[in-house]
Amino acid sequence: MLTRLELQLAWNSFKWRIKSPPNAVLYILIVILCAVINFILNTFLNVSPKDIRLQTLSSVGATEISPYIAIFPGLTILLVSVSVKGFYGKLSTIEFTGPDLEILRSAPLKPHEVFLAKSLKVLIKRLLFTFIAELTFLTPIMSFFKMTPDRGIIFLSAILLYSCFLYFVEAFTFLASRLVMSSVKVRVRMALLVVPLTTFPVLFYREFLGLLNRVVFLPSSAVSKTLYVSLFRSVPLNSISYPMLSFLALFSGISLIVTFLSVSYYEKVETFEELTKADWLKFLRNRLKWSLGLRHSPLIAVFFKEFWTNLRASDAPLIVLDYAILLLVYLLNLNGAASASTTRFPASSLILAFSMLLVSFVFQPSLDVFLAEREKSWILKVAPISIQKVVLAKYFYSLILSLVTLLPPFIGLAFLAPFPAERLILSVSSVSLLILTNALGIFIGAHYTPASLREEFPVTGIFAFMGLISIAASPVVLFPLLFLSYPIALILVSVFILDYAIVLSYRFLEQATKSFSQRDDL
Amino acid sequence: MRMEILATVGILLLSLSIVLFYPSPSETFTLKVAITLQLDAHDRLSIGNITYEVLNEDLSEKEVVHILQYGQTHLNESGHRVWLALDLQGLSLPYHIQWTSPNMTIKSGSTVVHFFQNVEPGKYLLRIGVYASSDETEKPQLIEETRTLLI
Repeated sequence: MLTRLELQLAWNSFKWRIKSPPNAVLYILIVILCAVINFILNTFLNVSPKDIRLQTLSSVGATEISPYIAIFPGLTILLVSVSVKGFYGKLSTIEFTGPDLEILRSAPLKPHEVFLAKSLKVLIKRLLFTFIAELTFLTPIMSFFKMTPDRGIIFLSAILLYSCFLYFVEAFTFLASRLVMSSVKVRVRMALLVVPLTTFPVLFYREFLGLLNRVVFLPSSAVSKTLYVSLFRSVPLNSISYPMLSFLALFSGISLIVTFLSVSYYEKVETFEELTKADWLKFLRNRLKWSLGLRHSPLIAVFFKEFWTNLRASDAPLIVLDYAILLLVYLLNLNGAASASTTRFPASSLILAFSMLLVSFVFQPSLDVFLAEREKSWILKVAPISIQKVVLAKYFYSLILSLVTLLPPFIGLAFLAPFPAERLILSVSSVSLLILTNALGIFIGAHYTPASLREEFPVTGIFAFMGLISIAASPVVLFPLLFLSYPIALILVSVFILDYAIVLSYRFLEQATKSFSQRDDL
Repeated sequence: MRMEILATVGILLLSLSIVLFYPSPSETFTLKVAITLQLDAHDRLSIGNITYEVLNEDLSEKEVVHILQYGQTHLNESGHRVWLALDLQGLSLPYHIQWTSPNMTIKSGSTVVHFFQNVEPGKYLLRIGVYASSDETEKPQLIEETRTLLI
């Protein structure tokens, strides 16, 4: 009943959105974009002349990379990311907003039942998005490997199941960590938050790494093997039955444990009284600074407001998450280097540049800075501060945050490039990329942020963000690679892309100011 | 009580998944190609049956050499002296590997087995070149055959 209500709400919200002309246009654009990507991939993989295709694949380092080496680290990075996110971050389905609490008060329901209903809605949405992504990106790959329908079904289902599994992993780490922390004393809690990070050096011991690979990476190993083996036409399909069964057992097991933990969570941890307070940085209360001590600039005050409020919400854990991913990539590299005879990561600078672009999709604090305000946006609007300064302060906040977070891994990635010129240009590109993507995120945030807490950030906004990044930021990462053999031109191109990033960012920030001031609902 | 049972079943399923994962296939595949060489009534050499099989194992160099030597136990002193050149080229992925056999003396029906290690899925073109001579002074005769493999 409750699940039906949640699904009805989601469906109504979709119908309401699609009725507004700008959203309808954007949905159509998304469909066209997916079709175009599918067409390009399909043409490249299945229609283009064999020699051109093989040459292109060779030029991006595909001679060295087996599909397994692409699948396994990708799935593992996702697995570790959601685990760390669950540990340090917040789980949207576990927190109840106004309408959820009203349902709880009036209906004979238990809190964990509301959580499960909300989780089911999240899972259905995930399945839908994953399926759209599969249709867009994977169908050309499936026909490239000449997969039979039965293998194709297994291939697609394993990915769909894994996307749902990731939600349970996030919920599991969130619930388990909160339950453990609620049962220990306050002093021990802080130690518990730091301990997982201090254990990373242990990973450098090969024996421990082997054990970790077997147990912790079991889900990603099982799914990777299922996917990889299903690509082989002449390997019998029954050989994937064991990894598939193992993953199904894991999936069922973790979903049951999450159900059990959610009951305990609402009994022992969540009292519905401290919903708005930070749950892990209580020591910051009443000790916050609002200026640099020299003079009270409104810009700095808004900047500090962003810093303190977001530190309590989601960004700080994401910094930790990012470093964890970086370490993980390093370890996978270390592991790969040990097992294969190569000592370097066999990737070309084109792949590295695209990795940077993809990582900047995932981590974007700029998208959240307006999202954190919602109903309270009017305070910023009526405050004696110009909206331009508010936008600028929010931009500087997210820029500094992403520079601190993403620059080390980006430079780390750049240094995996084979030639010094490529390293230099990828380092310059990464700074330009961050300048540009943050301004773009601020613009999208100001334009699409919903007015109330009940509404979620629209999918159209996420697609608009991804589409704009792909169009605006691609020259930043790709253009310099064309001039690798010409050192003088490379310096000029570096200056040009930095200039391009600054000018375009300024335009996006101007648009953000315009959008934010023109919106009546905020 | 119901929840405790749920948790117990969950933990049991997690343990079961570790057990079930143990017999999973490894991520290393080897392509086994077996080529049968035949001599006709006029003592002319030809390529007979070509079979291939994808094995889910990583054979060490030692094992590969061992199997080749096993193939050589079929040698006949009065047969042809041959050597094989195999060329496996990826049509899907830029995978390209070549192999040339040592000199062998064969009799009709001898099978030469070669293992291409760490193969990836996709379509491949296998070119087989057999250089044969019945006499040391004679110029080697070349017999060629190509096959498309979907592995």
